[in-house]
Amino acid sequence: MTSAQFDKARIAELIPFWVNGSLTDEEAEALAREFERDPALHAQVQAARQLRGLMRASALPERSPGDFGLARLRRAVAEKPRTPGSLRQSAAAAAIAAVVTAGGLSLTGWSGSNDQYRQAAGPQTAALFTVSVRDEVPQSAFADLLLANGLTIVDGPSVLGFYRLALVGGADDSDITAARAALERAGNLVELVESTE
Amino acid sequence: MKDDPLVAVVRRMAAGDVSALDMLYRQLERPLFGFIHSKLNDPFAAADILHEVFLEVWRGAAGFQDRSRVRTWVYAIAWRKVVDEFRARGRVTVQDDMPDRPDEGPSAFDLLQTAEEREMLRDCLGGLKADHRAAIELTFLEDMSYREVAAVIGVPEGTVKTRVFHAKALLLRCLEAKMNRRARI
Repeated sequence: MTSAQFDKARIAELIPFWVNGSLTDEEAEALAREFERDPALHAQVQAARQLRGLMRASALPERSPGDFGLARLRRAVAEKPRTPGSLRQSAAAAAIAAVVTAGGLSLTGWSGSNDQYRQAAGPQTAALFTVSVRDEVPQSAFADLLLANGLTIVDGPSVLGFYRLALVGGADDSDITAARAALERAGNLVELVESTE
Repeated sequence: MKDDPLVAVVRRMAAGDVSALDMLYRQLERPLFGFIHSKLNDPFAAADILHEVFLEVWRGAAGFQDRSRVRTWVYAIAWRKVVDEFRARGRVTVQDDMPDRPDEGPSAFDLLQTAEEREMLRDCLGGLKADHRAAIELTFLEDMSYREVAAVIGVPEGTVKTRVFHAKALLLRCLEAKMNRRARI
C-alpha cells in the first residue's frame, strides 16, 4: 500500500467521526485540509451524513422502563446495600436476587402465561391483574393511579406493553374487587384490565 | 476526564448518595436502553440488562477511575452484558462479507424517505454482525468518538475505525440491493 492510498483509507475511516463531530481539533483541521484538496471527498461526507440522519430517523421509538425502572433500581439498592462481598457478586445474580426480594417472585420469563411465575413469599405478592396503559399516558399519571390504590408493579412492561400488578401488603377479596374497580374507572389511563388468577 | 460533569455524580454515588444514582439514571437511561434494545430486540430482556448495568455502576462507583468518560464506562458495562446475553442465547453472528473499499455516493439514500425504506435500513442493520452494528450505532446514534467506542467495546481504536467503515459500506450495499430489487418489482 502506498502512502497516498493509506492516507485515502485513513481519511475514509475518519469521515464518520468528522460527521458526528467527535474528532479532536487537530484531526478535524487535518481532515478539512484534505477536503479542500480533494472536493471528491465531499460525496463521502454527504453519504455518511445521510446515513447518520437516516439511522437516527429510523431508530425505533422504544418504551424505556423510565420511572418504573428507577423504582426497581431503588428497591434493589435499598434491599441489598453495598458490601465488599456484593462488589464481587455477578450483577446478574444480584439483579435476580433483587427481583426476588423486591417482588416476592421468582421470575422465569414472560410470554403471557401465568404459570411462568413461581411464588416465593406467599400468595399476597402474586400478580392480581394484567393491565395495558394507553400510549399517550405519562408514566407519572399511571404511577399516581397505582399509589392511590395501593397497587404495585410486579413486572412489566412486557413485549406487548402489559404490566402485572399486585396489591401492596397483601389483599383480601374486597381489596381486590375495589382495586379492580378503580382500575376500570380509570379508563382514560388504563386500556385493559384482566385478572391473572 | 476532568471536564466530564458526570464524574462528580459518580463520586457522590461512591459515597453512598442514592440521589446521585437517580441523576445518572435519568441522564443515561433512555439512550442506554435504546442501545441495549437495538442489540437484543427484546424490550423485556433489555430492561433487565439496563437494571443490571445500573446496579453494577452503583456497586462499582467507588472503583471508577476517571481515565474515561462516565458514559463510556457505563456503555462498556452494557456492551459486556449484551455480549454475555448473546452467548447465553447461543446467538450465532453472521459473518459479513467485507467489500473492498467502494466509491461511496449518496445515491442509495436519495430515495430513502418513506417508512418502508426506513424499514429497509433496519433490515440491513439487522444483517450486520453485532460488533459492527455496535460500532456504527455508537458512532451515529450516540455520537461517540472512535476512542470512546474502542473503550466501550474493548477493541483497539484502529479496529473501531475499520468496523465503522465496513459497516457503512455494507449498509450502503445492502440498501442499494434492496432498492434495486424493489425497482424491479
